[in-house]
Amino acid sequence: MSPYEESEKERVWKMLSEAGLIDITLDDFPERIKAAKNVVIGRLRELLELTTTIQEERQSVAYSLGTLKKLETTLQVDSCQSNPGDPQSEK
Amino acid sequence: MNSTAKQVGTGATIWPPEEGETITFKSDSGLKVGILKEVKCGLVWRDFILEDGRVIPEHRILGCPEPPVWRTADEISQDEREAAEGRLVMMAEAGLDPRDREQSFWAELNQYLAYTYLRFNRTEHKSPDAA
Repeated sequence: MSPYEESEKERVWKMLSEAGLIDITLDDFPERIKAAKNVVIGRLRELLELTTTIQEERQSVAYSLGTLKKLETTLQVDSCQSNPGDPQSEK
Repeated sequence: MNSTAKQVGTGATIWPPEEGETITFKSDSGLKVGILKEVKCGLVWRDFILEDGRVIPEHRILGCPEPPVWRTADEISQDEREAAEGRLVMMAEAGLDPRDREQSFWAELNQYLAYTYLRFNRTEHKSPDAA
């Protein structure tokens, strides 16, 4: 492995560690899904501003966003159902 | 414990361990052991699947070289990404709990979030070879 590849891997490791995405702790999923969604939304916004963007890329980004939203919704529902005594679940 | 399994994670130099070997890994409740069934490449890192079904990310295994083998977002094909997205939605809709650590849903969701973050959160950092 070249020194560049090594430092690149270390950079990626650090980036993911700082974002709390390496070993997501038990109750952090909703927050981490939201963080990933924000990054995807940022990219989609960039693509929508470009006139030269390939349609395929926009579709792919939109699909990822859809997946994250679906996961977020499903997991929130499950979380509410699994905590019937939680006042938040009665909203 | 499998008496024929070689104990790794205690300074072994051969990596990754072979199928059937006993591996030691870090968990919330301290060190645990398990028998390795197979090693699978995820969207970012490799997962070690144990014989009892637990899924352990490579970087939690004792003896894992640093930095571990990771894939870049560019190495993931559209088909692979869509397959991972499909599996995740299916597991979520089936009511699996991602907070059940060391199970495949937790492992896949964790990797998907890391991959998505890396894929879209591209900084200005470029390879020195890049034009």
